[in-house]
Amino acid sequence: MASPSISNPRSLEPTLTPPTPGLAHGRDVHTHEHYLNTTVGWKSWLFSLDHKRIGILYLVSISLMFFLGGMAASLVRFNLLEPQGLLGAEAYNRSFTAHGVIMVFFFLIPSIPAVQGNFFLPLMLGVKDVAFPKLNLMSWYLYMIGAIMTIIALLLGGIDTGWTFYTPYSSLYANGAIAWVVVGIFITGFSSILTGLNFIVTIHKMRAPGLTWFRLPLFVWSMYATSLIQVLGTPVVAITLLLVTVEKVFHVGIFDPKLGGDPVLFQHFFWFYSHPAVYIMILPGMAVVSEIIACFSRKTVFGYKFIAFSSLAIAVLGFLVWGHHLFVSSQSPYAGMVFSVISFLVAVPSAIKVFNWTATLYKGSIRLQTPMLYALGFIGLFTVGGLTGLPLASLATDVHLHDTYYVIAHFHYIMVGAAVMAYLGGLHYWWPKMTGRMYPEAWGRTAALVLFVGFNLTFGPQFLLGMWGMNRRYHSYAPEYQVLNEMSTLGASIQLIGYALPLFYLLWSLKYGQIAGPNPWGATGLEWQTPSPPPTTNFEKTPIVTTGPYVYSAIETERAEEDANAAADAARMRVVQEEQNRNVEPTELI
Amino acid sequence: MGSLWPHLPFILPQASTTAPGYDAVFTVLHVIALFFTIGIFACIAFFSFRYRRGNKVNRVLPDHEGIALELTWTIIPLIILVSLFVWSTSVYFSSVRIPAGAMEVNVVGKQWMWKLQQPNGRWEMNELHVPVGRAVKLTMISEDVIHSFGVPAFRIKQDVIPGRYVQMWFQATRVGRYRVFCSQYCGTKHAIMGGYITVMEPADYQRWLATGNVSQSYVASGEQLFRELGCTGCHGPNSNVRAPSLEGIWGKPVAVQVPDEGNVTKTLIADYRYMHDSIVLPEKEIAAGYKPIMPTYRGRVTEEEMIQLIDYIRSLGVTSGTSNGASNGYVPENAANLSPVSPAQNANVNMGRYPDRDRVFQTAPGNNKMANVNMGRYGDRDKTFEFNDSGQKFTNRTGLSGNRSDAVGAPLCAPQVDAPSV
Repeated sequence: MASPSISNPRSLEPTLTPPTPGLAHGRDVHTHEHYLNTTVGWKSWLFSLDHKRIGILYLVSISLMFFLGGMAASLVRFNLLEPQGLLGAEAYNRSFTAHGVIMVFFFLIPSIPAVQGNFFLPLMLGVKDVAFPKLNLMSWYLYMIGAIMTIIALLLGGIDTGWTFYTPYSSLYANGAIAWVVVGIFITGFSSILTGLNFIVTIHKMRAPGLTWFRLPLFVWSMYATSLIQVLGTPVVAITLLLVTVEKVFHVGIFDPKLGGDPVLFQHFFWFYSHPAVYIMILPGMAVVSEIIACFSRKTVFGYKFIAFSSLAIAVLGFLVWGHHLFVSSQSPYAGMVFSVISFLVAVPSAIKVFNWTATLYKGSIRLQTPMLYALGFIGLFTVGGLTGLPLASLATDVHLHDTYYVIAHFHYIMVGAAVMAYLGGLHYWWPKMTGRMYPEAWGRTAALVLFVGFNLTFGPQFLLGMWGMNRRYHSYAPEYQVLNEMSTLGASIQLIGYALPLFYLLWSLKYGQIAGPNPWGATGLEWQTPSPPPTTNFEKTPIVTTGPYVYSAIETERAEEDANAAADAARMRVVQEEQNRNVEPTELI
Repeated sequence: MGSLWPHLPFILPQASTTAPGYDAVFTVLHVIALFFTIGIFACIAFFSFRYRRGNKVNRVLPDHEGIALELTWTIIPLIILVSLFVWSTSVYFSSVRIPAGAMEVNVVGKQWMWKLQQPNGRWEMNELHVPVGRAVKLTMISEDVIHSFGVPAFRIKQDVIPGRYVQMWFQATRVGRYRVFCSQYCGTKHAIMGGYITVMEPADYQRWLATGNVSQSYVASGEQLFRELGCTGCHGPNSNVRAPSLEGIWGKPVAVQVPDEGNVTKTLIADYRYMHDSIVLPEKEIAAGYKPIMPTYRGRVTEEEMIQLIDYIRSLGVTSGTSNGASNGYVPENAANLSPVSPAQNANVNMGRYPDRDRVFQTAPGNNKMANVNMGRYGDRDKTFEFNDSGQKFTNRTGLSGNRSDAVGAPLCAPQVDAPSV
């Protein structure tokens, strides 16, 4: 897909704002005061109440956790190269547990809300900060305490319960530093609750003048739905973990059958939070993608209200489907029937979103820059992930597929294929706003394509493994599954390159990237109407909103670009002719 | 016949009656998924190419807002999804009910092995032999953590839970040897917990059954345990400790007091769960009218032994005793509070012949709900009870004797090939 425009310098140029040629390496352009240079020193960061700095703190910490979780995933894939397992059972079980715990609780759940939400929600609302800046900083500290406790547990040898912590295995039979991890997740949960609370209050109370609900960017709508789940769902997992502790300390029978408890009750509690948690991961991804698709096809998002309300529908229905994780756990078939039908129904708002995004492309002026590649990848992979959820929502087929690699493949398509792609897309889209500099476009596109290929090669074969009966969490497997496992590991290695590339070129761009200017994408939205990086108070003066969020016009963009190109061609011709007239050799100017 | 698993398992064998239905749902779901996936990918690719920046095409948008389009792609998926749900659920429900007369196999899961026992007592580790074409019912429990008994070739799977009996059934349709996996993560060696089900021709199965390591049936082992653990000391007919007789309580309503809920009296069905809890958690539900004096057997009885004990108690279920032991001539001390029926009436009632399964028995005028509960409904239509003159001794045609003057010596029951299913 290496489009010819990579070599065409015009494609990198801003469309609606004049380029800033010749200043690519100059530090002198960062003359305005912004959130990065007003104060310096580590204290100014660790005690900052600025939502943008807290967003950056989150960015750094979740990136570290992402690479830790990625290392664990590499161990998992390495082990599965050979049917007998290369690491042995103990090490393998600890690896997949570390991978799951870190990726779910310490990367995916905070990812887009805590980084891009924190940074851009106040900017999109046209306000100075979130409603409760001190709570915001506290949420980061809580996250860090939880993360450090989990890292300590890893250093103590890790745990082997799986990220689901099913009782009675986790409470009575497993070894390892489980208490560290459980308390760590408990504390991190509060970070999630505080972020959600902050966002809900900010969205309700602090919008700029004229910014009515239906003028909000879809990012804000999705973030609102996400925050609702965080505030309503996370306490349940906290209570569950408390109950496990109460049972262990006071011997009250809750989950332990020996004390008269019910181990399946734990699964109900756990999934009551953890299924909505999947929507905490995917709704923000949908938020980012809505912004990117509109900007890079220069069109108003098709069906704005349908996308906005489908986010809320997903948030509400998402609370009522947890029982589809328990179809074979001895839950009553009639309960299973209810959970099955609601799980099928969640597919409707998801489908509405996919169709609307695709329709947005129609008659747009589409530019396939890095954020757009990620966004299009998101739509495709989310479609696959969503549709393969149907056999798991169906009672008949789930019996066979339950706890197999089919499930693994399905939720990785949602949580990596969709959520992580959206996160990376958003990171590239807003990188110039966050740092003031462009990332290198060619590298960006390369990494996006490498990731797409690597991802599908990793998880595509796992659908087949699952259909043919390979169970999850197996450190060794029957030899007939080996070929597909090798493909999967090869894909994982390719993905590794895809994740490492942005790490390098984004860091590189901090110093050497082209100066971005306030609005390199010609995007609408309040966050682009302030300098890059934004000043500490976000806006020089409070913006007044008079239009909806996506006032793009593909036709006008095309016309403007045509005119600009014509003018540039004319100018070039003039230069050439003048040079010919002077009988001078062509210079490097062209 | 050897392994049916070729080196590359391109298609799983359909080896049970459940498999074809499930596979049909699976195929249709994937055809639909493929259709939409290809559709979406094609639209994205086509639009991205046709409306790429700088391409000279018509970009004038239609004038309307597209409500019709929105409704179309809301309602059509809704219809598809609801019909898929209805179909898949009906397929599931058509196969979830356990057919009557299924061959009963007991399964105990423990870290990291399966123990499976045939109706005649023959047991195997990680192996199960079954005849082709016969429904097999698995009654399963775990000794420790949650396991899951899954057979991909049969498309069946069921979590096996500590402290609770779960049941699943299958009917193999193809002779062969099929893999069993543990599907629920259960600790270090989760991956190697598994085994094989060998499906044999009925004649071969009978030959196989007659050989090998036949152990006592569960009923016989349970009877032995019942004595060894000292159960007879209180629950035996000659005991002078006040404990309810267990004869005949299986599957019947029993009145219990629940201390956790403020000693309210409740009526439960004496099923596996109730029996299991009464052995390990005797203080949880106390038979109405008795003192909570039974010690817990938690930790002293393995889950496998538990099944044996319960199967033994179940085998006593063919009598018409009641949960408060009145049939043995014992009257609980606060019986008057529970039931206005006099012991004599009570005994009479219990001794009667109740051919009508659906009739709720009324003893005497003024009989309250409790008495009804104790009298229960007599569902064993096909069992004939005979009573001797004392009104307290009885036998029935399955050969079980309720007249046990010697708790230890007399043969309590013959090992039964087919434990009576209630």
